[in-house]
Parts: sequence; structure tokens; C-alpha cells
Amino acid sequence: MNLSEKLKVFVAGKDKKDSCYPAAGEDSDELNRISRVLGGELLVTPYGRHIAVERVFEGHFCHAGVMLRSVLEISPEIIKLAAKNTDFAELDFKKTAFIDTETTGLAGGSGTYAFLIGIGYFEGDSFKLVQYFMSDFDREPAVLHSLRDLLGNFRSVVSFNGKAYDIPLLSARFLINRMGNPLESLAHLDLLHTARRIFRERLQSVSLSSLEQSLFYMAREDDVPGFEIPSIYFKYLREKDPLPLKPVLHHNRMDILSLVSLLVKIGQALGDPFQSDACCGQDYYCLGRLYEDMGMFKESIECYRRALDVPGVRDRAYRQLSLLYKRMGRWDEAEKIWIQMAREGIYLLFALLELSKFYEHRKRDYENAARTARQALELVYSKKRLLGEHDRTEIEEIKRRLNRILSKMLKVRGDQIKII
Amino acid sequence: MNLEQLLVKLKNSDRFKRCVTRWEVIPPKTAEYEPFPDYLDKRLIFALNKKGIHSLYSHQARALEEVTKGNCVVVVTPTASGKTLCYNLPVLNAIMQDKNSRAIYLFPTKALSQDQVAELMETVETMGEDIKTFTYDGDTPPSARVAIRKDGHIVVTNPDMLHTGILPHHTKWIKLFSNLKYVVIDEVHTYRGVFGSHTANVIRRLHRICRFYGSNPVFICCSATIANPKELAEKLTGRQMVLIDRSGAPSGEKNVIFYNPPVVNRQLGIRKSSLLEAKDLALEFLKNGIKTIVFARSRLGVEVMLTYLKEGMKNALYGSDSIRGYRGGYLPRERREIEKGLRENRILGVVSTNALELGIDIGGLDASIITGYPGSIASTWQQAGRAGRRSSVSASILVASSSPLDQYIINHPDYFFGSPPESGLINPDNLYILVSHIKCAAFELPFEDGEKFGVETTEEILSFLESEKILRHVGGRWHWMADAFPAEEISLRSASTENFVVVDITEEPRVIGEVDRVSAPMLIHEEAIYIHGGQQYQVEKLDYEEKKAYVRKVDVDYYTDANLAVEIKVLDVLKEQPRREDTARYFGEVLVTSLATMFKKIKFFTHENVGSGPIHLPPEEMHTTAFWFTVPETICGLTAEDLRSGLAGLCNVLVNIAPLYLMCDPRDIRGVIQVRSPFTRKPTIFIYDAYPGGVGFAERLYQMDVQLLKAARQIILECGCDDGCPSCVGPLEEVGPGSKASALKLIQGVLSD
Repeated sequence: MNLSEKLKVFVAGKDKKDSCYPAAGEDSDELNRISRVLGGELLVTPYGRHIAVERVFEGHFCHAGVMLRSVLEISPEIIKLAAKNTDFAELDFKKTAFIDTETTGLAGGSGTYAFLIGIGYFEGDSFKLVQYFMSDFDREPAVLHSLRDLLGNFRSVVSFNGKAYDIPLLSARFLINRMGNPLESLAHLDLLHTARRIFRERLQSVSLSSLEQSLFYMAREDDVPGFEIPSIYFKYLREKDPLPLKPVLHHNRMDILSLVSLLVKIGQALGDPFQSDACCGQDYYCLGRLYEDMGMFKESIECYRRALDVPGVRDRAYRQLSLLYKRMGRWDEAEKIWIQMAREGIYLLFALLELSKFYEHRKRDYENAARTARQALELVYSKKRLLGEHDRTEIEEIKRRLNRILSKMLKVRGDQIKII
Repeated sequence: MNLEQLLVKLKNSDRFKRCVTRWEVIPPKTAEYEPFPDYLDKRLIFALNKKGIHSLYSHQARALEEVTKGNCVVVVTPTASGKTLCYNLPVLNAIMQDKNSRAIYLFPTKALSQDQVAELMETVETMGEDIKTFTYDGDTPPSARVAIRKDGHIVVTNPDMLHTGILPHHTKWIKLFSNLKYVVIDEVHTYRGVFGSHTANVIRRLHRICRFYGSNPVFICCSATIANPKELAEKLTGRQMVLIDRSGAPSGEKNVIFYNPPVVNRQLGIRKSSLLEAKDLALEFLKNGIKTIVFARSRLGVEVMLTYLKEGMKNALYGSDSIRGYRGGYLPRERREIEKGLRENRILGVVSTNALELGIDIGGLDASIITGYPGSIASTWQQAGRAGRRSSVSASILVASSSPLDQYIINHPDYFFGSPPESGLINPDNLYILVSHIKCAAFELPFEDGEKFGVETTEEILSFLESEKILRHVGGRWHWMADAFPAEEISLRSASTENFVVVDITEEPRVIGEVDRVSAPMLIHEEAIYIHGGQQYQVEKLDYEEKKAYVRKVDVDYYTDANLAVEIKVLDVLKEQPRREDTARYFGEVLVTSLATMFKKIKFFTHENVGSGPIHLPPEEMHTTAFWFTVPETICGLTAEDLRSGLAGLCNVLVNIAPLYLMCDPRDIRGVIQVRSPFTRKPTIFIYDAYPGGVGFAERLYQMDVQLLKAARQIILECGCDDGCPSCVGPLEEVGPGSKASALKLIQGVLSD
């Protein structure tokens, strides 16, 4: 049947039955029933009531082998590193909401709703986890109202991929419901960015579940795959049987707990990379970059040195380390590394040119400067010969360099002759 | 020789004169100026002065005045009459007065928008003001998008991007939508048919979003000359329009010449190739140093013409480098270069497809040569308008091909010069199009109970979508309830998103073309010979599910022709009018079922049937609108065979000339005949919209069918062939003998005069 026939049949069928629409929203009894099944309670707001599910994890509760409370011991220095932003030193995890949402679609856009918003936070010694549930579309204003109230207690949020996903989505929801957006005034630490910065070279994927597996050796049992969540919710909306939603609520809670554990692990890795079990191998190169960017050169050098014999990042570690030495004016150490690179063929052209620059400008050793520049030129020529590809400007530049060195050399000789 | 001398020479040439069916001289026109109004910002006047503009043309002044009053306008003026100022002036003036003001510019193609941004930026730069103009389209890098959303005063984009990239993410564009003062839609005449119907719905969605953010923009539309600019713009935007169609721009004398290539075979109705004739004419102009643009109908045509002209100019004074091609896909930089070359006389000739028909500014040219009738009066005037200076003489020559449409136009210049150009038809309420945009709209913002989206039956459609589990009705609102992004599944440009791709597997597999779903069973069934770019390919495998045809290069002396059994079932008669002898005409909804049954292998030149094979493909069903009419059952002296061939011939002529009146692509409509229709119980000809749901073509044909039949009669009467040719009822082999005479009798049986 094509569209217009379908529509006709549909309209005709409706006339026979009943011309008013079924009331899809739930009445009080039903709301209570759903809430009971989910283990929640009803929150009253000026926009009506909605379901909230609350869990408290006491004092020494451990998730994935990590005591949640230890997140409060992370020092400001480490937080700065984790955020790669010095403004975050003030961040107080006692005033932080750990946030994660479950949504009606993965494609984004203004037709996507957050039907479950989970917020975890510390209250005294314990960790409290509340989940605001939108039991139908018309409860959205109520849920958002509660969320706004709750977020008013915090100065920052921690999320996983929230910068690209959860936070813009919630901001859009506040806007569409014409409500003020409490998220605008909160600092935001997105652990996906942090994890990517540290683990991107070692791990194939830095999704939350693969981080759980490789950092905590934790595998979730009977977990709901993320892509199935929207359809589970839609089925619930049509049938109002909340039971299949319980695993979704569980999934959301696990995500938030893992957020805390992940932060602790990252704190350990950043605080003492050589003792922490959270990082190894290629991570040292990444950490070296991070420390370097944050001006912590001593730590950076240690990490690069450690990365010098890690496959995959070795070459880049050599290069970065040499550049860092150069930047710090530790020329002898830089020279040593360039020589080693030239010997082993690591970024050969780079090493030769750096050596040439070093000999020319620092040492005024024009013999060696010319020798290394010549080697570089030969290298570029043979590349051109073998691969047929060449960068004219590259060749021109090296030639210019060589000529300059040679003329300096002649000048020095001339000066020497004059002195004699 | 200069152009005037050359025209005198042509006028005196017997060979040329024999082929000319009309030489129309349009007299020069002087400019009508108006001073800058005093509310126009001084800085803007300063910038205009710097560009050498010291007063406005009357239409520019009028547009500025109306828009400033808050009225929506549609400006219809010829090419190169300074229409961009009609919108740039009010928009820039408003931004100067309030830096928060925002505007959206919509152009149908990317190339146009890039040109416009370049020009606009120039003006803004001259003003020395901080007005940010950005293009936002598929090519905009993500890094630039954030800045555009926040700071762009003028966002230049196309309907497709508005549809998939902007409206569904409206919360990111809060600044734009809250402060939107103007929406500019240029080239309104291109928004017709399916594309226009889609765009009208995108605009409906834009209205909803603007209402949400509390803005109510004024629409400024510009159009080429068509019969119904006001109606089209109003349907497209849903707003009342003030029509401004009196141009104040000057123009020089203009010669429009209709040229029909000489007949080389009268019996078969074959004329000398229009491409070769156009080439000779073009060389005549070019060798005399006259700046000329040559239009060809296809990309291939452009390439062939370009090769010919370069060859022909090799030994001429200006050389072959003075000729440049210009097709879709050229970058603004290359266009600037061509423009500059034209100004500096390094480039003399440009060969183009209809890409240059739109308002891209390539500067003034002296002559245009149009190879083959562009399909509509409006397009022809657009292409002819490419040649024309403000003060000197210009010439345009239309060289006809032997298709029925071309032959009709070239032999009836009065029709062309006397009648208004075609109407731009759209049907925003086409159910398929409407429903897909209601989905997109519900995704963007939930519908409120009682809210209307274009039609009174909005609520029924919403309720239907709820039953389809796409929406959810709760708390007086209709919410989007699917894990999908509806805008992505809807293409504004093509009838359906379901095209078949043709993959050449001779060497490395590569996609060489696309075939729309409706034509696929005819053109790319297995064993079909598919011709692309002059090369023959044989279809080895048609993956119907995946919509892919795998082809391999071959070199054979035959082509294939599939038999399509088309069944048409009348579902509902919406309009009906009886006429003489118990016949009648109808307009209504139909179900078209087409089934490719078998194919024949037909030898080139001899047209012998050298083999055949079955086609095993499922039937295609389409629900659409149709116009149909009956002819008397018994006409004196007409055998059953005559009746059939007469119907077939008449149907061919009608389908061929209908695009003339509809301003549509010939593929947009199709015809079917029934010797004894189960519905009318009489011999019947059906012409239907080749798009699910219909776009309004059939309805227009219903209204003008007498005119159409008379035009068909004239074509058949005037065609010089013996018994059918491609210029009238179709080739003899296809329609059978006696088709011409029978078709005429059928027309006589229906018309009362």
C-alpha cells in the first residue's frame, strides 16, 4: 500500500473507532507503579512530578577495584594535568557532579531527548547517585527542572565524551523548553579527552568500556549495548512496562561509577607514572608530551627516556626529547641524541639538519655543519631518485644552507689568513 | 568586422537567410534612475559611490523601499540589471542600523553562493565595516562552523544545507534565528517541480523555528522572467509578496534570431546537426573577435563543441586558447580568471551548459549561440540574456535540433515571442513530500495540538505518523520517537533517493553513472547495452536489492530496447469535464504499475531485430496524479490498427511538447495509451507525473489540454516527413504506419473546431 492509501485507510479506520487520541501520558497510579518497579520515588516540581532513582555507595565502596572516595585525594597539580588546563587547579571533587545521560538517539540534533540523566556526587564520605527518569515526553520539563536545581549545588561536571555529546544535548533540551541552562556556568572535565591524551598510542580504542577492560580488567556482564538503548526506551513508551529499563538504569550507574574509578586511575598515572599500573609502554611518550606541554620538563624527559625503547613511539620519542633538550638549551645532550638518531636512521633528515644547524650556529664548527648538510642533501637527492618524488623547496633550502655555511667557512679562513 | 557589420553580412547571406525563421530586434531601453533615499546609511552610500554607483535603478529603489516597510518582495528583472543590490541594500542597511541583525541567503547551487559571497565581501570591505558574511555548506570546515553560528551576520547557504545542517540543529543557531530579519531567495524560478515543492516545505519548517525564537523575517526573492513569479514566490515562502517587475536598467539593441538547420533527408525528417551548425556560426563570430558564449545541452555537448571551436580557432588571430569551457564544478577562482580574461580580451569564447544560465556574473558578452532549445521559454531568455550590454548591440541565435519540441518552437516563433514564459509549478502539499517534512519538523520541535503545517489535515498526518510509531502524542504535543535523523533520508533534489548506481568492472570497479529507480528496469536490466559517454557497456549483473548494476565495456553493433508493460489504474477522479461525442477529460489519482517484460536487440542503422531475451524484475508501483482524456470509439475509416498507432503517435507528440508548457524536464511526465480503458471504456491517453504523489503537472495539463491538442495538431500538420519521424509522432518503426493521419483524425474527433 502506498502512503496516501495508508493514510486513507488509517483515517477511515479511526472514524469508526474513536476520533480522540489515546491519552499516552501516565496517571498517578501508573507513575507510581513504574517508579516502584524501577526502585525510585516521585519528585514534585512546579512542572509536575517525575521519577528519581537514588543509590548511596557508602564510605569504602570499591568499583572496579578502586575506592571511589580516593578521588577526593587527587591533588590540584594532578587535576591541572588531567584537564590540561591550569584553571582547573581549583577544581574540588566534593563540588563536582559526575554526569552521564541515556538518550533517544545517537545521531544528535534537536529531536534527540535525554530520557535518563544520572548524576553522581560526594555527600560527606559517601557517594550518592541519582537518576532522573523521563517516564514520558511530557515529563521532560519536570526532569530538567530537578536537574537544574541539583546542578545548582555544584561548581563543575565530570563526564566521558560530554563535551561533544551529553552537555550540548542537555543545553539544547533546556533551550527548547525555554529554561535557563545551569551547565553554562560549570567547569567541565571530559575524561575522554584526558584518556585519549594518555592512552591513544597504546590502546586501539579509548571508549569507556575498552578502558574498563584494559585498565581495570573489568568486563561488564549482561550489559546493554548502547545502540539498543533508544529502542528499549521506545518499546517501554508504547507498552509502559518498565522492567526492561532496569538494565538501562544499571548501565547508566555503572558508567558513572566507572567515571570515578577512571579518574582515580588517571590521577595515579599522572602522579607517578612509573609506579602506577595504569600506564605502560607507549603511554610514556604521550605522558612526555603532556608534561612538556604543561611545562613539567623534568617529568617529561623521564617519560621520553622511558619511551626510547618502546616500539611504535621510539622514533617520535627521540625527536621530541632532542627538541626538548634543544628548547632547554641542553645542547650536549641534544647533540648526543641527534648523533644517535643519525647513526640509527631515525628521522635521518631531521637529525642531520638539526646537527647542521647546531654546528653552524652554536659551535661555529663549519666543517661538521657542511658535512651534515651535504649528507642531508644527498639523502634528499636519493629520495628523489628512488621514489621519483621530491620537494623542490626542500632541496633549495638545503642548498641555501650549505652555501651559507661554505661562505662562512671561507670568510673564517680569510680572516685567519689575514691574522697570519 | 564588428557585430553590427557581421549582422548586416548575415542578413544579406542567402544561405543564412533561408534557415532563419525569425529575426526579432528588441529596441534599446534607457535607464530609469532614482536618488538614494535618505534613510540609506551614509557609509553604504559611500561604498556604492566608490564602486561607481551614484544612484539607483528604479527597481532597486522600489525593492529597498518595500523591504524597508516590512513587505516581502519578489523582484523580476533581466540578467545584468543589478538585482543583487535589491537585496544587499536593505540587508546591509539593516545590519548597519542594528549589528545584531541577521540574514540568510539561499542560492540553489554552491557556485552561485560562492560568487555572491565574494561580491558581498567586496562591498563590505569598501565600507570598512565589521559585517561577517560566511558560506555555510557541505564544504565548510567544522572548525569554522562554530564561528559562523555565533558571529555570521549573513549566512549564505542552499536549501539542502538548511534542511539537513541548520534546521535540525537549530539550538546551535540561536543567535541567527532569534535575530533573523531577512531571508533572501535568489533564482526563485529554479525552485519548481519536486525541488521547489521540497524547498517550500523547508521554508515552512524555517517559519516554525523562527516563531519559536520570536523572529519573523522578511523574504526577498529574485526571479528570472516566468509567467507567475508572484504566485511561485508566495507558494514557496507562504508569504504575501509585492511584485517588482519593471526594470530600470538600460539595455542596448538586441537581435534574437531563430535558426533551423537545413533538411538533409526529408522522408526521415533529418536535418543537419544543430551542433555543427552552431559551431560554424560561433566560429564566424569568434574569428571576428566578437565575445561569444555557446550553450550546449549536455556536458558531453560542451566537450565536443569546445574541441571543435579550439580546432577551428587554431589558425585564427586569437588562437585556440581564447576559447574556454565552463561546466558545473568549476571553481570560483577559475570563473574569476575567465571573467578577467574576457575583460582583458584574452578570452573570446565560452562554451557552457545551462550552469551559466543562472546569475553567475561572467561579465558582458556580445553574442550567444544556443545549441538546441533549452526546454523552456524562460531558460531561452535567460541564455539569450547572457549576451547583452547596457549600451551596445547584441545578438542571440537559437539553433534548433530535430526534436519535436525544438521544431515546434523554431517554426512557431510567434508562440515564443508572443506568449508569456512558463509558470513555475510547485505542489508543497504533495503528500509524500509533505509527510517527509512533517517528520523533519517534528524532529526539530514537537508539534502542538492544533498546530498546522501547511495543510488543514496536519493532525491526521501526525496521528498517522504516531500509528507508524514515529511520533508519540502526549501532553498535547507530538514528539519525535525514533532513533533516526529524518532530514538525512530526504533528498530535496531527486524524485527519490533510490537511484541505481552503474559500476564499470572492466578494470578497477568505478561508478560511471546513476539511473533513477523508475528507469532502471528499462535501461540496466541484465544483458542491456548501457551507453555512457559514447561508450557501450553491457550489464552483467543487476543487484536489485543493493541498487547496483555491474557493467563491462563492449563493442557491439546493436543496442537494446526493453518492452515496458505499463498498467494504469484510476483510483480517484478529482476533476472531470465531458466534451463532444461522448468523450471527456479527467484529472485524478492513478496507480501506475510498470513491468519490464523483455528486451530486443536492435541493430544500428538497419534497425533489424537480431535477438531478444526476458527480463526478470519485480514490477514498480507508483501512486501519482494523471491527466487523461478519451477519444471517440468509432471514427470513420479508422481500423483497430490505425486507432492504436494514432493513439501511440498522439501520445508521443503530447508528451514531447507538454514540457513546453510545464517548464519541466521531459522526464518529469510520461504517457500511456489504452485502446479500450477498463475505466473509461473508451480509447484513452493518460499523461502522468513521473513522481510519487504528483507535483502538479497533470493538473496543469488538464487545464490547458485544448491548447495542447491544437499545438500537437499543428506539429503533425507542419512536419515535412512522410509517415512519422522523431520530430512529430515518432519513428515509423515505433508507432506503426499511418500514425500521422490517424493521430490527426483523433484530434479532430475531440476538438470542436
